[in-house]
Amino acid sequence: METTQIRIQGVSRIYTSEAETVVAVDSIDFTAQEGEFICLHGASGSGKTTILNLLAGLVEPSSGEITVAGNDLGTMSQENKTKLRRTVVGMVHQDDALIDEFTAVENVALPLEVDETPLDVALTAALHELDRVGLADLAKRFPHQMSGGQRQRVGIARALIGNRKILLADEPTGSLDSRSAQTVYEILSEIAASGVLVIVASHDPECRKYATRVLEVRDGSLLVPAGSAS
Amino acid sequence: MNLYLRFARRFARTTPRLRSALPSFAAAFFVLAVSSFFGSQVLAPKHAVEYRLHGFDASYRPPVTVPLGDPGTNTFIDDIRKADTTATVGLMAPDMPVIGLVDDGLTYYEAEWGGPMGESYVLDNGRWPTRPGEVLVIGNTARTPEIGRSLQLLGKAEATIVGTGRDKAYGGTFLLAAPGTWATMHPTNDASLTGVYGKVEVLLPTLDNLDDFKKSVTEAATAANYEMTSDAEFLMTENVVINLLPRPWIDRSPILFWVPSLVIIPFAAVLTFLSQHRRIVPAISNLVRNGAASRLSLSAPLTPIALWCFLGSGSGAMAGTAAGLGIAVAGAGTFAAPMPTIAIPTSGFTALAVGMVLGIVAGAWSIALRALPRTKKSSRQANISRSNKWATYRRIALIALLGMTIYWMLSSRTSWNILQTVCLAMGILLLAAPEVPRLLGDALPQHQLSTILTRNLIKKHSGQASVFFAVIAIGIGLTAGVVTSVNSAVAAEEAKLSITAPVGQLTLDNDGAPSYQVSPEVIEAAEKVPALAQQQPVQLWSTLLVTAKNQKPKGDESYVTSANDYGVTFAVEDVEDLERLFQRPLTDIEKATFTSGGLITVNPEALTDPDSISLKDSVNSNKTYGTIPAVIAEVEPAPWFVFTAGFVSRATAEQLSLPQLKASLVYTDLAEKDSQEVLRELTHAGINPEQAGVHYEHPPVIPDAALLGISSMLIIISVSIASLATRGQIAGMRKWIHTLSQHGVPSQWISRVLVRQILVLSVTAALVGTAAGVIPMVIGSYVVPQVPFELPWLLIILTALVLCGLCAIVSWLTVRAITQSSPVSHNRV
Repeated sequence: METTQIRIQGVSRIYTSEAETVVAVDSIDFTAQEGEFICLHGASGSGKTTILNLLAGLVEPSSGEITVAGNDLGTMSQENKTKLRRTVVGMVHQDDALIDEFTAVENVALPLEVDETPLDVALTAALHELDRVGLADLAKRFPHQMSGGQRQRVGIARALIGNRKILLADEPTGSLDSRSAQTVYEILSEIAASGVLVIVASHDPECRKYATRVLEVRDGSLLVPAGSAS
Repeated sequence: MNLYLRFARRFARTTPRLRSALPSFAAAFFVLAVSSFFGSQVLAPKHAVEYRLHGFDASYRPPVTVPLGDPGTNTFIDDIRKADTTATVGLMAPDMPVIGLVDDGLTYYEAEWGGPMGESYVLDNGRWPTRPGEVLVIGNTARTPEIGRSLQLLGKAEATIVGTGRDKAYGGTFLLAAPGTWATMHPTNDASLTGVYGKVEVLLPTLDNLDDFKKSVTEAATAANYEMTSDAEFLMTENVVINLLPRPWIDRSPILFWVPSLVIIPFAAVLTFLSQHRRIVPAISNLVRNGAASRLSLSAPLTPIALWCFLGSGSGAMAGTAAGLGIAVAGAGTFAAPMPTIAIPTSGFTALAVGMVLGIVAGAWSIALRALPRTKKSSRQANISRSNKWATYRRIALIALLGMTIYWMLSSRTSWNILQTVCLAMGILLLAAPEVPRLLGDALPQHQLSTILTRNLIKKHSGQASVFFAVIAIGIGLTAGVVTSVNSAVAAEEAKLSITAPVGQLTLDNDGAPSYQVSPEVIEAAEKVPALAQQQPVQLWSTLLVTAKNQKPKGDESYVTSANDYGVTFAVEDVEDLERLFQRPLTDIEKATFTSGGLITVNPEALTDPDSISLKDSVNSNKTYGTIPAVIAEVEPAPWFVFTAGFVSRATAEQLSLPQLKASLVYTDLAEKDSQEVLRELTHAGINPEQAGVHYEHPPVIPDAALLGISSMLIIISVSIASLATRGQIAGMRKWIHTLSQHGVPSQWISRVLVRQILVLSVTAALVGTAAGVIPMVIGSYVVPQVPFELPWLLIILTALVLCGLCAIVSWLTVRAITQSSPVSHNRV
């Protein structure tokens, strides 16, 4: 039986400034199960990134409830949310967010190392994750010695390490060529198939092809859920 | 801890070592080289004791004054020798005039030079003096001492130069004479030479019998009928020598060492951190995004940079110390012979440690400010609020510092206080720097797109612009302050040089008082020289209100002066006399003024109106002599008009009923040998040769090597800092430059915008910095008039121009390098 990993109920996020009030996310509701590949599709500024940040606990909702892997984010401390991001929720960024001074395997091992996992265990796990994204042979390369697609795959490996159940990717193919983007989607698809909930925020129509479910985001609201693609 | 070390090690692998270490190396090298070299420029205690005591226990100077030219001197010295046969006895006379060798007096020593007293000197040529009347010249003199040449001593005594040499320790100028020479000098009829006296100096092998020895000296002095003084006894032992050692320059002028050191070293460290910020800031941000604690995220990447700063400064310190001491040792004999004090430059190491810690903290803080806010999802309002809070604190601190600076400036008492005010002014610049981009942005014109963009860039990147402004302004401000201080010191030294006479002129006066009549003895002795006897000198007539019989300076006589009390008014016979004094033909205006009852002055301050002068009695101001036309003449300086209201013709003086008394005589068109011959004749006649003013070429004033070194180094550092800051400022705009390039904007257009931005900031910084460095000096010179002030405008303007020009060139080259590189390249400019 599939487990519900994410539940969002009536969540809104409103930014206010002296000049104006912006509703970034407007009363959204949805649930997501393990093994799903959800594509949050929408134009730039539609609210996709805010939704991912809400799910990662990086942004507080103005209203509503968010439950991630059974944890109510509204009642969690910042410290616990940080731990949640290290152990349950992995994030992939458009800019790959790799540390130039670390090798690929060290970048992937970083979350475990920060969690005080013994170094050899962390590196072995990192190698496994790199193997999962097809980069085991580039483990000792530094980010500047890799292509954009390879760097993004290292980012995915890092987001997965520690048997994380949820992977949130924000425009992971935004700065990649179409071939590299295709590779990244294939890997994300395989990861979802292995039981990880993958949520990708993207304006790239290609994303829809790999998603099991597409959520259209427009002006901070979710449109009627579209059917899943093959 | 393990994780921290592991991460720090990873960051250390890729930290560019040379780039990180070089600034700290250079700064430490400079500071320690300066510190160790100048710290060593005192004689080592051991050598100072050797120099002063020559292996004896003490040097004793009894309270006895030995008069010049007394035949009993030799007996007196023999009696002292008999009192202690193990002692070495010598005679010393300060300020001894020696015609044909030096312009001022020098120190005269008389002793057995084959003994220990000769050990203080090195014989370069000739031999040691052994017979009365033989002398050896030590050090650099105004005229070259030729061996075999005869020197005119006081009285009719002459001495023969038998050798030349050097002082081992302090490079002084001395005349070493053989025993018995002192007694050959006989001043007879000139009271001004009574100031020349001798002192006996005795080297004692032990202090055990000092009291008995002192008693014997007193008996010998009484027998010789010499005056005993109670306050002039001096006993110099090893401890006294060591205590009297001059302090190293750094201890004497700490601000000139500490201020640049505490600017240069922290700046080098901050520069290192800032040069790494494009690499480090994203790394810190990514560490935090991946769940690492903020402290770990900051400390791990910053540790290798700090480490390379320390390694760079450590190796620079060692190399600088070695270089400083190496130069000191190599220059032994030139700077501090025979050997400088070799000691660890504690001031330098302290400055280095303090500066490095300050720099690393400031550098790490600047990185943290850039990196950490990106990790926090704080609201824009919270950021604005925090920023406003800091701005308020900064403005309060600015006002407080401004008040403190004004108070400090107005309560200054010394040049040291004034330099402290300059440092406070630099603090004001630092606190005011964040206001500059906004003010500049508002002031800049916006007549075309590129100027609008320049303005917007400065406003949008106000943080960067503020740092750039502060770096340039403080660099040039500090430079302006220190070079002004050095220039003022040089000007003060130059002002101390006595003006003698223009080339070819010789003035006979009355003990240096040009307003009084020259004594017939002086004229008679001087006119034994044919060149003087054959000409009619220019007779100056002073307007002193004294009788001819009472023509000796007293200082309370009244005279005719200008209404603003500026010096004595002189009269001369005619235009020709004035032209001989001025050594040039008078202009038509001068001639017309002089012949039509007017006054010619060389001192504009003497005039009461731009073209006239009111004359009055200097004591009784109610007694006036009317107002006459006056004109200012440009003339080479000479002593007879330094404080002179001006010159009128004798006919005008008569017309105005001015008193007229004979004053100085001025001989013209003389060769240098004639002048020297006059001095010789005066001395032969037992007259103080200073009664004749002759032309001397003064050597140029050379400022203290340390001051000169610091000023030059500050200029070099300011220019280097400007260059590095410009490069950093432009490199920080790389992304912006690439964005414009990708949109097809020509690189020339981008260059124009950025170079204009750099020029606007650097010119403003140069102007504001110069003002901040110079204004405290200007005000200080009013508050403390005795502190010299001479602004080196040309040097400051040149430095500012070079600095701004360099900023423009470096910015243009950096923009070009960036636009020619690929937008996705990892090569850093």
